[in-house]
Amino acid sequence: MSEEQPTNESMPVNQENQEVLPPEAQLEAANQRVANGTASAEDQALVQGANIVAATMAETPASSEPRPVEDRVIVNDLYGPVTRQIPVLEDNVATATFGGDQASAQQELKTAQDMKTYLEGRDYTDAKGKLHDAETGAFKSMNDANARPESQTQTYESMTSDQLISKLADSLEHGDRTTSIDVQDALMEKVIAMSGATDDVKERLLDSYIKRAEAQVASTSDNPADFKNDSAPTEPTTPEVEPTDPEDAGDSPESPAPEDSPAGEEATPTPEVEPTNPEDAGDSPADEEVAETAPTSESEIDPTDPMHPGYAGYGAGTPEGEGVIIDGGGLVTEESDPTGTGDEENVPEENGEGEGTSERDQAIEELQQNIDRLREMVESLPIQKILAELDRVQQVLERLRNGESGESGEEEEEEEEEVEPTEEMAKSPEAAAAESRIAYYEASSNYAKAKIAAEGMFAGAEKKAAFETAGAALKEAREKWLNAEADLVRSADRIGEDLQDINNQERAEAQGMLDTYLKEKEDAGDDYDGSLEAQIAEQQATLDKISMYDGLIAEHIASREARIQEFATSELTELSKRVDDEMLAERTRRHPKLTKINNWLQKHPKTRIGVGLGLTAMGVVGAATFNAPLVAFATGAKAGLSGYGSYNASRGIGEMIASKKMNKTQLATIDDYLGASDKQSATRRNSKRIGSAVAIAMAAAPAILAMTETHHAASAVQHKPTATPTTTPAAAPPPAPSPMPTITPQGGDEYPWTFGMNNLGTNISAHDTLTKITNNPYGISFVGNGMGGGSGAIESVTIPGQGTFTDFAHINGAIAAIMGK
Amino acid sequence: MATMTKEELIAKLGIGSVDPETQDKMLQNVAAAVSSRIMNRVTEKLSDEDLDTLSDMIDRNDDAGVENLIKSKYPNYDEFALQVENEVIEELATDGARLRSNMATASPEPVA
Repeated sequence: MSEEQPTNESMPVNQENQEVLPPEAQLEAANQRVANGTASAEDQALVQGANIVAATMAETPASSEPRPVEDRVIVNDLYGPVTRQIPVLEDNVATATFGGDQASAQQELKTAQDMKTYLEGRDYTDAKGKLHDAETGAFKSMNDANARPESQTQTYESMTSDQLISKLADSLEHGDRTTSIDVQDALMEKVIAMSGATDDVKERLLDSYIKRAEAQVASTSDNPADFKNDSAPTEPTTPEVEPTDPEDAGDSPESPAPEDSPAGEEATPTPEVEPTNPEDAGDSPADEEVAETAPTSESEIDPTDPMHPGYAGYGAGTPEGEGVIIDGGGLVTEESDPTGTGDEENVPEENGEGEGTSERDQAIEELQQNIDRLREMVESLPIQKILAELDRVQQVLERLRNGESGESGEEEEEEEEEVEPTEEMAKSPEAAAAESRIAYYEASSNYAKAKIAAEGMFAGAEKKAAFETAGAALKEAREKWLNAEADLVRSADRIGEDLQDINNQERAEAQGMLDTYLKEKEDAGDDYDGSLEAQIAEQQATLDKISMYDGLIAEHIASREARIQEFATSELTELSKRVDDEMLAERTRRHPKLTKINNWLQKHPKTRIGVGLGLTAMGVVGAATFNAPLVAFATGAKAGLSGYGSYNASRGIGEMIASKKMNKTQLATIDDYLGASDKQSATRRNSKRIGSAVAIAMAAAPAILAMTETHHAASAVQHKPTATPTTTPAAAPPPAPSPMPTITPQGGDEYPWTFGMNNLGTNISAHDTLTKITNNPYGISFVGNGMGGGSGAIESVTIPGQGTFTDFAHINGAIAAIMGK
Repeated sequence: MATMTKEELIAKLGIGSVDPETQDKMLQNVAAAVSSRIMNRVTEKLSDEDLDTLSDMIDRNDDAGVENLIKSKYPNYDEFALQVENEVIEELATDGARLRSNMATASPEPVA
């Protein structure tokens, strides 16, 4: 006991039996010791604390209502453990005047001031988890909630899908269009980044995300009747909200868990006091721990609500944490999950203690719902329709493949010769036109696919760039095709002139021979024995034929303009339609139901949907199609192309001319020219190439067709130049031992020989074939000069029991029946 | 947008020298090309829900419903269809004239 201290029997004593001075006396004594320089550390602390209190008291108005105080051991890094009497903060009123006259530590005062400012400016959530404005107490969007500094740096990219969905739901709920759009864009970017998924899968996934957000909106209610939005909203029931650590209180919106408090605070900080950003809910492990320690408040908040501190997202419990979508048979996973750490924390099992059971049950329930939803998606896939569509497309492909390489199996049975194209062939206009056409087909197909792909909502810059590239390639291919076809026409159109030259040569030769024979006859005078009559007749017949050829050639040349017009427009129409049909086919592939609509349009050709008013007014009604009717249109276009040859025809011409087998100077007779096609390989004859190269080139002109028919009919005799036909038109047909086959009139617009090449793959003028046709077992008889060894086409057919017909349809039908096709 | 007569269309396409029967066939092919273009444009506006609805309508033989739904995608469908039609015709006419010009260049004169 100090001598200076008066003894007072009423003064308390400490354990050391020393008198304990009242606080004021202690302070005075401490001041004296400080002044004397004999103060201890405790004295210094006491004096400093008193000075702070005095300053505080000078700054802070006294509270009108005395605050309850209690001793609290405060951790003080500078001064060590210090006991201070601080007010107990119980409600907003307390926080409004926090830092009052009982604050005794500079640090705690600063903290209190910080906390006051912080709390005053913080939005808060009520028991329902709804956010309220700090000033007005009105409902407030989560997106507008005060964000802790570190949470403001969180971007959409760093959010999980579930977080984005929740954010989208909130924006939708509050009509925040800007945020809604931004979040949807973020979801799209996340889906785009998914690997191993087709665009259809991604589209469905995004759709499911949006629907989930909408479901969230529908499941919550902003009906004021459901919540109390009074002027003095109630804070969540928590005993205390005391910052036990300046750092915790000022920096971390989440109150530290008990174990985080070095002082072993018993306070149980509540999540509701913390910032209410849903994106924070699943990020920090502290959230989970906080949730565990505040069961009371938590039970009042929907665990599936993002505001729930224990909110684990929709994908909680799933292996990846994020929703695992199985669509179209493929497993879609995100390539990256920036907030992957949060996913692990969301696994209920890892949360451990506390109400993990209820969370686990909810997670399990959510997972079951996801599974059910995925099962419904898979079951809703039109598997059978997809398979049927695949079969249909496969059939179209097979038809196209057969159309390119040959008709069918019977052609493959024929022996094929391999003829390598010469260098001249490759350089010929025909080859160039053929190659340009194929290139255009490929370009249009690529363009269609690229365009459709670029239209997809998940089309990134890469697909758009690919579309532009495909468009440029298509344009270039079209230009090449236009130029190549023009060259082809210019070159092919010379056939008429070439034939005319040949005809003139033959005329000169035949006339020369005839003149010679006549001269000899005249010279023989009365001694003429008639031995030259046959030769004279032969030459006269040749000259007659040549004159006929003149007419045909002239007709062919005269029709040049019409043929050019028909060819050009038909080609362009086909190519234009091809691009659109390619795109329609691509769309139909992605949306099989378009097939049904296509079929409907085909059954309703007069609907005003598929044709414009102009063509409708003209009475022109085309077949409206969706899928690529390339084969069908190609058939129609071929008629227009025949004047100057399709690829196949061009190839024949190219081979013929470029191979120098039949150039103008080498052709001895026009028959040789026309007969060149017979020397082509079976492969080329049977592969859609319409037999004779010359016939192909001039097939559009009926005159030349007739000439071709004449030639080929006559060539049946030429195989055996000295032999007479085995049958004559007048000869009675052999009895029909076999039942009459079904004769279907067909090919009415084609000469029989052309029909045979085009549709039967057979040169009916070939000796064996002609013999088979003529000597058929059904009693069908044909009449025509060619059949009797003369020149000319088949003129009529007599079908037992049906009659005699002169039209090509019956003639061709009979031939087809005889040939068994 | 005015419509043209059949004769005007034939002249525009440059197929006046072709025989009438062939002309009619070619015009049908043009109509088919127009149809493909129109339906391509229309399908761009058909959502999955629209396809489902159309499919149901077709199943119920609701032809009018199908037509009305498709036409509802445009404020003035007839004008849209006519516009596409003219677009295709214009393309064919322009490219056709150029192609015919190229083809006719240096074409040999008919031999007397």
